[in-house]
Amino acid sequence: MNKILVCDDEKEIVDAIEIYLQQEGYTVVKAYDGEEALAKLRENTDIGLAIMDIMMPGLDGIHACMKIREYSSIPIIFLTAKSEDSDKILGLNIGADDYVTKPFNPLELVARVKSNLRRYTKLGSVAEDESGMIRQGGLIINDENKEVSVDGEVVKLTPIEYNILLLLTRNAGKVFSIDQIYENIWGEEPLGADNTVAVHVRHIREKIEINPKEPKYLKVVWGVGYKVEKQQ
Amino acid sequence: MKIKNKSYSIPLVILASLIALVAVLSTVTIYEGTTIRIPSDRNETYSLNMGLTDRSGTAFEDSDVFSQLFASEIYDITRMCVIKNQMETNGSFDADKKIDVIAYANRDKNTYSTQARANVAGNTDRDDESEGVQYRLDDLVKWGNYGFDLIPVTGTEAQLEAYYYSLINDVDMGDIATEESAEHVDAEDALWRLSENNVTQSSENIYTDYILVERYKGVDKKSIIAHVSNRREYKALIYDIARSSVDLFSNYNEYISYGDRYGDGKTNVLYCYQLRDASGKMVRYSNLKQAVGKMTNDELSKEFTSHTKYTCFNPDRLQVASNIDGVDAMEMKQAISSYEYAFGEGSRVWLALDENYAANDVFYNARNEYNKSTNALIPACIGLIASIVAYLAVLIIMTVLAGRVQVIEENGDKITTNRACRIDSVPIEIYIAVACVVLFLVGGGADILIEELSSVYRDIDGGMHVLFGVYAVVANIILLPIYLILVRKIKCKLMWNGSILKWIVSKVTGGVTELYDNGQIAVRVWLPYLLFLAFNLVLVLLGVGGIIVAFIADILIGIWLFKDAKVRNDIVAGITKISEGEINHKVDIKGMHGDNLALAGAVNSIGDGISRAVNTSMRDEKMKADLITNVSHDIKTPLTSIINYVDLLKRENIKDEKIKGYVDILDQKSQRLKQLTDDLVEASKISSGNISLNIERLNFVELIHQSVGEFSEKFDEKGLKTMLGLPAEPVYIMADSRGIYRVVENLYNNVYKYALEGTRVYVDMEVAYKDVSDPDSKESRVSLLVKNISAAPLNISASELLERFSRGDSSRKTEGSGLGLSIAKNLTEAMGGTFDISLDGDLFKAVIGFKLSE
Repeated sequence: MNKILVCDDEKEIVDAIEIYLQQEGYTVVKAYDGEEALAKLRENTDIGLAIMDIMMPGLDGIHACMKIREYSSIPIIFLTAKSEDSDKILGLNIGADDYVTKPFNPLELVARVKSNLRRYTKLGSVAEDESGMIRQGGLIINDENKEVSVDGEVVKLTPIEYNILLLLTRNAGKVFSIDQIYENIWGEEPLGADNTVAVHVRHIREKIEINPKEPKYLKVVWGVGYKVEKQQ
Repeated sequence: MKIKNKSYSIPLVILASLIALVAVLSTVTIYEGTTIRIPSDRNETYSLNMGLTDRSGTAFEDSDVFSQLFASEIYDITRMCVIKNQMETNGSFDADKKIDVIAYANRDKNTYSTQARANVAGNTDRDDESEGVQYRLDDLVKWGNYGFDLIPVTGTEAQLEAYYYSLINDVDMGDIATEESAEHVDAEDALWRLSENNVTQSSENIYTDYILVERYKGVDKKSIIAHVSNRREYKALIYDIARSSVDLFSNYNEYISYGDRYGDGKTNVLYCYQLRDASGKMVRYSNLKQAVGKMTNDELSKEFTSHTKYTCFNPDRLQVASNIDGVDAMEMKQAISSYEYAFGEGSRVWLALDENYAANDVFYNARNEYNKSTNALIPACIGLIASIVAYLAVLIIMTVLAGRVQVIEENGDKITTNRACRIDSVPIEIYIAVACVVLFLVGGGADILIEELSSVYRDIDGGMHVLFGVYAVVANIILLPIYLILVRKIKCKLMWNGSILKWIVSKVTGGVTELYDNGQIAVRVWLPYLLFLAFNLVLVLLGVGGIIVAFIADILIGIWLFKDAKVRNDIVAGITKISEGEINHKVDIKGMHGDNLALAGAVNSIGDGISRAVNTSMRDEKMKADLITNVSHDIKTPLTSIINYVDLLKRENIKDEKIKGYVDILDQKSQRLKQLTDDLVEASKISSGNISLNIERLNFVELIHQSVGEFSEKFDEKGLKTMLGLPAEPVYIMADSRGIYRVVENLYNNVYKYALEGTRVYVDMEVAYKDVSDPDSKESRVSLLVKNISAAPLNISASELLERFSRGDSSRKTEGSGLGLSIAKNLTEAMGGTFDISLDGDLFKAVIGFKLSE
């Protein structure tokens, strides 16, 4: 499961990614267009994850992804220069699991690879939730031992951060304003305006999100409040 | 420049008025001095002109007034004596007096009279002592008073002849002409009906004659038919009877009235008329005390010439012995000319004035008036001439001085020029109209006054001077200022400029020019209109049928006009829609024709043109944005490699500090390049409108708290202290949540990058609520103010700062693309907000404004 397919028509990028992934102990299978990627995947049935460019000669990333999804459910991460929202949505809709835009931060890419692999390999086989476990996608809160883990990786939170995240996760999908969070956590009327809650939320995001600016779980609804996105 | 504007108008007008007063008073005096008004005994007043010499000590009896009076008396007395001659026998009224009606009726036509009498006499076949047809005087007078009963007889000429023949000869010839019942008509009317000139002809050859019902018989008690032999004679005779009755009746009335005027002691005129009466005897009529009957002509002449003023007249020889001015042979001949029949051979007239003025008559009164009147004629004449000269002189002075002002220039020069007053700007026509009305009134008033002055029935006597004086002054004070205005207008050339006529002429000229310039349109509009009018006029003139046709045609034309107007309205609506931005709107040209079709087609093609232009420019913008996006993609791929390999280099444990430094620079610059490409794509998308915004209701206060929370660590890092001035309650606006955060984020990034370290950053929110009571007040708005102290001096204008690629420090030392503020501004405006920045020294202030959501 340490084998990762990296497909990009730019050889140097594939090589660079290979270096980063090798450092983390993964094996990289390289491909330079869609057809080649499909061929490599059929050859190496033990490939656990695919990183794929969208704009490639011949078969492009989107079509390659669709073909892969016909027989495989391995995590696919798009790595592309197309940073539009519409591109991201398209990518995720045809079956990609993540989307990283070029130029990318190598650490972020590696983190996403790890996270997706963990979810695919470990969580996929995890038994039914135990009582006291609150789960949104890869975000799991065990209220028994006040432990929070993202994609199986335990995250250390302060009590206030924990309570905020617990509140939002329990009510996933619901937006809480700063005042509501304040009232719930501190149990008292918010005295005057301050940005305590906002700072805490940012800290939580920095801890649980791979890219806090583009959070997956704890999202900022600007001008309204914060929420934990309901995951499928 | 100083204007010396001393007006002499008012004193001059007053002066002129006073001079006019003198002139008018002189005129009145002259008039009064040349006229004498004499009350008479018949409730009348004689107004007689006095001769110019009358006043130079002339005695009344030698004056023109006396002569005029005396001459007029001669006429009256002559007539009186003639009538007396008809009415009296031996000095008293004789009712039994026999009047020969033929002779009397024809008394002033001697030749005819003789002829008529001869006819009557000859045909009646009687001896010719012939006293003619005689009636008693009183019968004729009564007949004249009562009127006549006439029996109309109708028939042809021949029938009438036969009728009269049977009547006169008492032969029964059956019903020849138609007799009708008698009608009573008054004397004058009967005279008119019987006159020979008045032949009553009811139809062709059918005439109406009259039979006179003989109310009174002649002296011989015979019927009229006894005196005539045929129809012509009968008609002539009854006409003469009627004529005599009418004349005698009126003379009788006059005769009675003479007693009042010329009875004893009623007149100062002494008279004696020697006339021939009807029987040819000489009879004298006189008011002398003496028994004139027995005096000879010479004695009478002697008697009369013994008075101071007398006239003796011998009609036979046209001899006059008179010492009265103007009473000469011609005058006397004139006086008796109407009564030639009475003044036969041997007749005489003696007249004289009783210089004792025993009777209180016109002469007595005239003498009193004459002696009373003063002689102011000469001074009045002098006054009149002098005042006219003076008046003209003043008028000339006024004319010269009107509007003249002296302008003293700064250098001391004096310039005399003309200047109009404010009232002069009123159009000339109005003044002319006013002047006409005033002149009309003044003239009317003068007429009334002059009539009153010359009237013999004058009510106001001594006050004429006062009336005329006041009138002259008032008329002058009204008219002279108008005259002065006209003079000033002429001098300042305002006569034409500013006149209504000029206005009308310019309008008419303008209208004609417009017609000429728009000849085609004029023909198109006016020609059908005139045809329409002519069509209606002609049909209406044709009568009821035409009116109905015209009415139906007019209704059809009205319907057609309405449809035309409706189509035009559709076109206007289409233009409005296109102008409001609905550029794809099309006017439906179905059913249109002529001008409207052309117009609609033009509007549609304008819409197409605009639509094409907009589409082109939108496509261009989009292409530009797409180009930038595509180029940025192409840049990003190599950039990814650069960043990745720089990162890999950094991970190598480089010992050489120099190389490490180089790698750091590569790292920084590649990061900056990344930022630049991102910003560039975003900026081009926003400015081309190629972004989708999800406008929703947001709490602006919450957003600021959130954003400050996001930036707290970054600000702390630079020692920037955030001073929040936010309302406690939520402030809602309509905006795209990510967009508005992007704006705030850019502002904060700006602060983070350029604010002086360790300073305070002020973030304030101000809400301006709409004044509900004032409907004109602006909508409620919220403003976010972000203020910070710039680290580098801001030697740049706010607008330059907002321009893309412009940053606070022109040297661009720090990171950032310089697109941040530009993106923030465009994004804010795309969401319907306002974005302003201002610089005050080192103080940087950004203001974001939004409409408050309800």
